[in-house]
Amino acid sequence: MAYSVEISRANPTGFVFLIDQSTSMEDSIAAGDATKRKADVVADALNRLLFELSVKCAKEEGVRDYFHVAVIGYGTRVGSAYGGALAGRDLVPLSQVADNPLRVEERAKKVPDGAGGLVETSARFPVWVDPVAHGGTPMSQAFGQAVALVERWVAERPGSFPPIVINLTDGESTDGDPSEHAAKLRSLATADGPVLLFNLHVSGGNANPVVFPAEDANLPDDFARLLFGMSSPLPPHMRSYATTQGIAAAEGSRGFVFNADITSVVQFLDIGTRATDLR
Amino acid sequence: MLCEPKAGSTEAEYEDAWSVPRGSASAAEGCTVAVADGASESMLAGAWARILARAVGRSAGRDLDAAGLAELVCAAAGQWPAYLERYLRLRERAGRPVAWYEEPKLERGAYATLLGVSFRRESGPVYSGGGTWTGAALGDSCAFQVRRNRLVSAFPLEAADQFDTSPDLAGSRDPDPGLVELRTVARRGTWLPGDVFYLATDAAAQWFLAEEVSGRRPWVQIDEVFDAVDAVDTVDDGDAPVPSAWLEGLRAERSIRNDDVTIVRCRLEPA
Repeated sequence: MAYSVEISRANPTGFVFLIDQSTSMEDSIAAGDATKRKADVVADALNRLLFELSVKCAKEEGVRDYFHVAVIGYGTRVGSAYGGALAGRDLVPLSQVADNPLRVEERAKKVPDGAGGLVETSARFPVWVDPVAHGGTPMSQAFGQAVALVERWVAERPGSFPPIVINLTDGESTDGDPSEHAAKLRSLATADGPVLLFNLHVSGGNANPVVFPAEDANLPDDFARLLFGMSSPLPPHMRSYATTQGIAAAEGSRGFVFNADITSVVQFLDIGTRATDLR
Repeated sequence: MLCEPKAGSTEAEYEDAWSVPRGSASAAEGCTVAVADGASESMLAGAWARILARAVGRSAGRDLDAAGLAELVCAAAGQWPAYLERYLRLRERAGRPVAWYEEPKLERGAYATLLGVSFRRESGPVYSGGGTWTGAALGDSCAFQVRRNRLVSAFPLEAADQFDTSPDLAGSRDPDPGLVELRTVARRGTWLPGDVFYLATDAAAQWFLAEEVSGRRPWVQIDEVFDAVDAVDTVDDGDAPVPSAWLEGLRAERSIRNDDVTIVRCRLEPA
């Protein structure tokens, strides 16, 4: 059965995040009462995901390298969106990601006080990616870099759980149709199955999100249909997890969300990175 | 007893624990054996498993039941803050203070499954030289009673398909005694001289039940391993223990999940 290989330190898997850092990411996203820029939402969600992944893999001796993570930003330039000690690096073992955030912020958080109330305390929040909104949308070039990274990975680790590429974008590509690169990505595979490509469209619009559709009939425009066509079907265990989180994911559902709001972004990333038991 | 960390982990990372009486129990006393399995996603799981197993072992033959186990778990949890403080100080002194990614899990506390079985010898002809046993289990570590080459009792789980990835667990942070008691499975029975009990953490327990149902008598395989010299868990360079060939074989043919393995064998002899 595909997507069932044990993920371990000896046999890690890879995540490649492609994040749109174009000028239009300056616009606001639907966020309930608050107004937040799309760039903030994407950066926050990514930082939160790296936080959760690091904590999940943390043991007494350090963070276990069950995952290697790349973050490619595309806007004025296309390349690693890591900064500080990780600047310029592509796939980084999770322990090094955890040990090298750009900075660690102290943030207030409320916790139960044991008597039915809440008390304010502080907790440490690492930041790896700051919001960026500048330039065009060279999505094709970004996909091209993802192809190179993933090709190298599957050549070096043919037995791994298939790497997962997650593209977060708010708009159309300005450097041509990325479909060919996307098809190339999805044609790559390890012994455990094809590489997974998921697309998350973040929007400023008021339309309801379309989450994990199985067909493109209800999608509003060609661009949405393009992203849908580029997205891999969700493997069964991810569909089951989505269902336990209250998200309908029938057979044929693809890893694609259109007009995502904040909750969808976080949930999407969580589902996309839920894999089999870590060993 | 056989104890081996999962393949790919070092002995230091082994998160199962056990407790067995020192020497052999005398005719007048009872004895208690225990195993515990630290949940690998929690921090300091191995330490918590050891604290729990020792706490149950100190029952030294007193009957075990759900209420009793809950009390032991809560008492052990009461010691956890002091243990944690000592651990944090040790880390500071070693120049490796706790990192940001350890804080959330340290806050949540450690988790483990727990199983204890107490044996008591009883006088009176009805016991035929044997006695009674009581057991209490929280989670999926299991006890098996084998008599004359037959499995006569298995608890808390009785079939290989009953295992899943979310067993009940004893937590180290303010456990609710009522809830722990509710989730603990208690069992009692009698034993005869010649009976053998096997206590096993989940990977080995699941394997045991699958083998038994297929007629392959897992206790015979375990006994062969225990009775052979090379089953002893030896460490060559302190980093990676040498796994027993038997367990390596099972893992290679995927008959057993790659997880920490602990099996405790109790042979009940005549007085």
